Amino acid sequence: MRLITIIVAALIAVLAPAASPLGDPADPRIAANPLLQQIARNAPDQLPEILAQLDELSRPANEPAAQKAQGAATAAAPAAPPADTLKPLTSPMALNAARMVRAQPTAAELAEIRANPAISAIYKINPDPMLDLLRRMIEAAEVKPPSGK
Amino acid sequence: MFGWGMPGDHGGGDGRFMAKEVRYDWAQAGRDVALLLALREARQRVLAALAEAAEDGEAFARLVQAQRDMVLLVAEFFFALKAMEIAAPAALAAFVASHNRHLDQRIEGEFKNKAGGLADRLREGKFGAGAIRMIELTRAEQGRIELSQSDIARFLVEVMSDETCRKVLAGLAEAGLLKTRREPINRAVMVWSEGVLEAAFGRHLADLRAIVAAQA
Repeated sequence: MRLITIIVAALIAVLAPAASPLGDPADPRIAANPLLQQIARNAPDQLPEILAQLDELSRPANEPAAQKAQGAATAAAPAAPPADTLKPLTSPMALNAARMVRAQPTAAELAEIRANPAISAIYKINPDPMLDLLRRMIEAAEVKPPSGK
Repeated sequence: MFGWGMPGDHGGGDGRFMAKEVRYDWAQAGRDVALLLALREARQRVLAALAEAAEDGEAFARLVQAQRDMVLLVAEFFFALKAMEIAAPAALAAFVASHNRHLDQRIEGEFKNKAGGLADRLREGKFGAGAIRMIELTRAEQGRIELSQSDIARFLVEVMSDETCRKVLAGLAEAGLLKTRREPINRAVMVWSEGVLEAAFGRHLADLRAIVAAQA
């Protein structure tokens, strides 16, 4: 977390266009963080903005923004697909089947697997075609018949 | 989650790729061996159930001896078709379209400018424009969903060769677990199921569920 915070702080320091009032030089985060110290020396007018951004990142209410900043770390966390992207299924049977298939790794977990070149190479060399086939069948089962039929 | 380190953790800093530890609790090995045996036994049971249901048990035994894994894959395919109600016209059309799109992606991607082997099979695995119409005509005529041997081989193109698929379908038909007829116009072998294959595979999955629940 600390490394990510530093990187975000560095990015903000480079990109933040607006000057702001000076931050509190007694802020313990500056004393504890060499990068913030450097910013305080070279671009003190940007420090309050950076500290405010760091505050937001550490606030639970701003979790999505924090996750976005965390990048790959966020990808490692299992996440359910957004409810509004799921189409209704045609029958309880299809619904049950869909549940079975979705018990497999989530998109975030697959992203983690693919992020490791050694593992993704194995999937490329030796994919499970039956798993792919079942997933395509699930998608097809979710297609509703045209209205009027 | 997967029992090894985080992505990007490829080993030491001396440039060598170091094998990572795969963590496993060996204190649980006894339970896991029991699970392994139960899973293997469940696999035996589905084949035994099919042998019992077969009109010609000896033909089924011969088929299993030659194509054990492929028999289970075909049973899995028929089960999934029924369980997900893919035979419904809209779902079938969507499945065929999705199949063609998937093959196009592979043909235009990793198999672009390649010939022979799987590359050729993928090109031949696509459904033509009239495929759905033919299936629907047959449904209207016969009152049931029938797929040609070639249709099934197309769907399973990445799973097994055309020849293996044909052998397994013919073997299951010989054993009486699938039904076939020869289409008089184009001489295609049409295949349909009366449900035994799907039900046996469904029972197998129910067995697996019970095994996993008992182990939890």
